[in-house]
Amino acid sequence: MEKKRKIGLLILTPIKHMGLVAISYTQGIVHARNLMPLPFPGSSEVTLYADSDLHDDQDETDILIRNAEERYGENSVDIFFSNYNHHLQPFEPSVFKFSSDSTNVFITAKLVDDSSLLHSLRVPLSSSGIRLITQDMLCQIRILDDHDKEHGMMRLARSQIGMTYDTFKAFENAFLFFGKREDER
Amino acid sequence: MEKLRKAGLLILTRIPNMGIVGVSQTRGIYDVKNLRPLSFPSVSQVTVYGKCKKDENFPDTILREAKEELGEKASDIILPKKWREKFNAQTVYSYSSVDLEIEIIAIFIEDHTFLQEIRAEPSSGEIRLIFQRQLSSIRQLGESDKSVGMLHFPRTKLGMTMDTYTAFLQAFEIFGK
Repeated sequence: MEKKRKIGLLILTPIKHMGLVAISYTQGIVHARNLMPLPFPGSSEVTLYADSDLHDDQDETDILIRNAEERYGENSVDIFFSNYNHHLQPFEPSVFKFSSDSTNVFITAKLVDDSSLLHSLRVPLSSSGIRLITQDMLCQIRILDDHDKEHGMMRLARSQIGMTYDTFKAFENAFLFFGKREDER
Repeated sequence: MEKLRKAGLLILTRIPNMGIVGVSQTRGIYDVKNLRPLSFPSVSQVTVYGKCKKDENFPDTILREAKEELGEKASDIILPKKWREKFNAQTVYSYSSVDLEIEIIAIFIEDHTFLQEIRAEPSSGEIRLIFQRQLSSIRQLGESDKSVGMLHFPRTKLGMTMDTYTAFLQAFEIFGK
């Protein structure tokens, strides 16, 4: 079996009255093209998250750009990737890293100072929208595992937020990294 | 005081092997443009809904709101020239009082592929496909639900205000057979 690599990017931005927030993509209920049920419906993900075969020659930036177009429309690419290029990939900091026989997972994070980036994002039918998550909210997160794949967050109150363990760690580490920097400003 | 006027559009379409669905837009939780919580969070609405601007008629409002709420590409497919004749538009809810006027129009689009082109605003909750059989279990909401909406209920449970509910009921009566 071909080993998979999964790459994620979590965007954080400061918002008036809320402080630093992380932009979470909420998984929808059905796929926009084939209308088939999606796994983990209603769960929260990092802003961008995509996978490919490990030996696929596409670089990480290309994979994430394709994911940005799918998730938020073409306008989002310039917003998310203004400081990235294919030869100098500043994929720092690493907020989650995991490697097993079948998968390599790598999630990075980025702070965008201008929160008006949110206005330009447009989400497809496959999404249940964007959720802004603050550091304080992390202690109430429900951690999901493979048993939750079919129902995800469907049977729980909409006010609750649920995510897989790797996503949760990425949020936690991103707030640790950028939260401090915001405090120092 | 100027009369408040609101216009809505409910689209029904046929999903192969599943049947006819109403395309509902769920309200979001937080308005990312104005940075404040939205009223009636997570409540199901008709596909497009909004306030009329001054000198704007109902179809003009629907066109403008469709572009804003569903994106340019989807709205060009859904609302081409003469869309009311093409998709047999029917009024499924209307209300008029001294200070408020509401009109909701429903259309039926046989080809469901426009769904792929929908791009909702970031403040939107989600686009949800609702079957006629689900209407009997809809929770009807009133003014007292304005701040919490459907937040305390699971996603499997749907909630609507009375005007939205009536619009869905009527639209399925007309197009659902």
